[in-house]
Amino acid sequence: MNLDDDDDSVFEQALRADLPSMAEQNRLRQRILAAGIAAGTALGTTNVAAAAQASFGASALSKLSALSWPAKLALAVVVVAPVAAVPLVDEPVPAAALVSQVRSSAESVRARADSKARFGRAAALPLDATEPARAPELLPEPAPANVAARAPVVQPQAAVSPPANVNAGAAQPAAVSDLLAPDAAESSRAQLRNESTLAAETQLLDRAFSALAAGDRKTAQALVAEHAKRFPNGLLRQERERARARLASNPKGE
Amino acid sequence: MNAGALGRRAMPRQLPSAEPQAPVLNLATVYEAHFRYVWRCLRGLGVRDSQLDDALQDVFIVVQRRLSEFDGRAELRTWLYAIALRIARKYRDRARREPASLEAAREGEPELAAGEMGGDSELESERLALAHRALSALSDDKREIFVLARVEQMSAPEIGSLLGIPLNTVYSRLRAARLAFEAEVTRLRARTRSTP
Repeated sequence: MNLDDDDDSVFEQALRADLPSMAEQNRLRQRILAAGIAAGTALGTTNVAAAAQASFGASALSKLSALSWPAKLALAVVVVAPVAAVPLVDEPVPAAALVSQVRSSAESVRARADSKARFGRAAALPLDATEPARAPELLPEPAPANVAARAPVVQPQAAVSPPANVNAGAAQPAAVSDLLAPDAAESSRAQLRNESTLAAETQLLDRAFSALAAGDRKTAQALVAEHAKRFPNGLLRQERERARARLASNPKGE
Repeated sequence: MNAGALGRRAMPRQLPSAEPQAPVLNLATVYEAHFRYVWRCLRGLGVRDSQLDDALQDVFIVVQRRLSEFDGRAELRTWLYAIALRIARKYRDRARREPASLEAAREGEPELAAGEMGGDSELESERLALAHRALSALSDDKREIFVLARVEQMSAPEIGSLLGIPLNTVYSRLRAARLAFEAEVTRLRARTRSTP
């Protein structure tokens, strides 16, 4: 039996089309970034390969945690200031752009730390020092400057579970590790490739479902076929099969 | 340690697997691909606009914590909706416990403007506002099943397992929810027409 036996009312269609605008999406991305979730305080992953990246990300984190308080404060200011100042425009902010913001900020902070180490007593600041227990000190700083008053919620997790290195590992750690060691650049690029693939899949299937909802079977079929051709084993293949099943079960298209 | 390199050494002559390796699934990719739908789902399930940001963040905090447990047996979107459903219930319950004065104050808060909701015409935003009002008149049970089936387009077995109810109950409850929704829409439209 099909749940979609009856025609959609225009009101149901309106509810289905109720997605956040581009400006709203950008705002939500900024908020999540500021909260440290997508930014990678401890990113979850289902892939063992990503866990390898994770341990590297965690070591980068511990290196950053070894910075002095002034350096951390500078990092927080440099990272958060551009984020807070970004106007809400009707253009999507790509993940890569957010990553590069953080990367350039971290680079400038590292340069400052280097010069400090060269000319002052900050020579006692070992960038390679490993102090996992101090890691959480670094992260709460961006929060107060942005909307993420609730950011600390995620901190204990990163702090308590060093094995959570296994859980860490994607966008942000890769970006930070990118600047601390060249090996991580490749994993960062792989990460971005996956993101763009998933985004393309989502876009295709979104359009297919919208076409289905509008009763445009032909377009929906074409989009489903295109998805099957481009992403035969894509992450959203089950969504594709659902669209296909709906096409087959309902000759009207909805 | 490089797990990939170890694997290659252990099976040097292995043929390529028939099942290509699934792409890495991490929080950033999951967020990017699904947060719009989770946002819509939360909104449909009755989370107030003023609390949507917090609720969305809560969902992805749970995702962050549990993503390593996701085994791929369910669809990712279904798994996300299961989390969103629980978060939405928590927010609805919290809203009901709020003192009347605070609730009244929230009611006075401006809701998202049409442009912010993604609607591109006055008619669409009117329909959307009316649909949300009709949804809010449904009981929690009916509202949940209506949103999951008619808006998020989940299948009956998926809904059954998500809500923990038998398949027959899914169908009967959905039928009742649709009737209630349509009746509410009709009532609201009649009221709008009669208002000068």
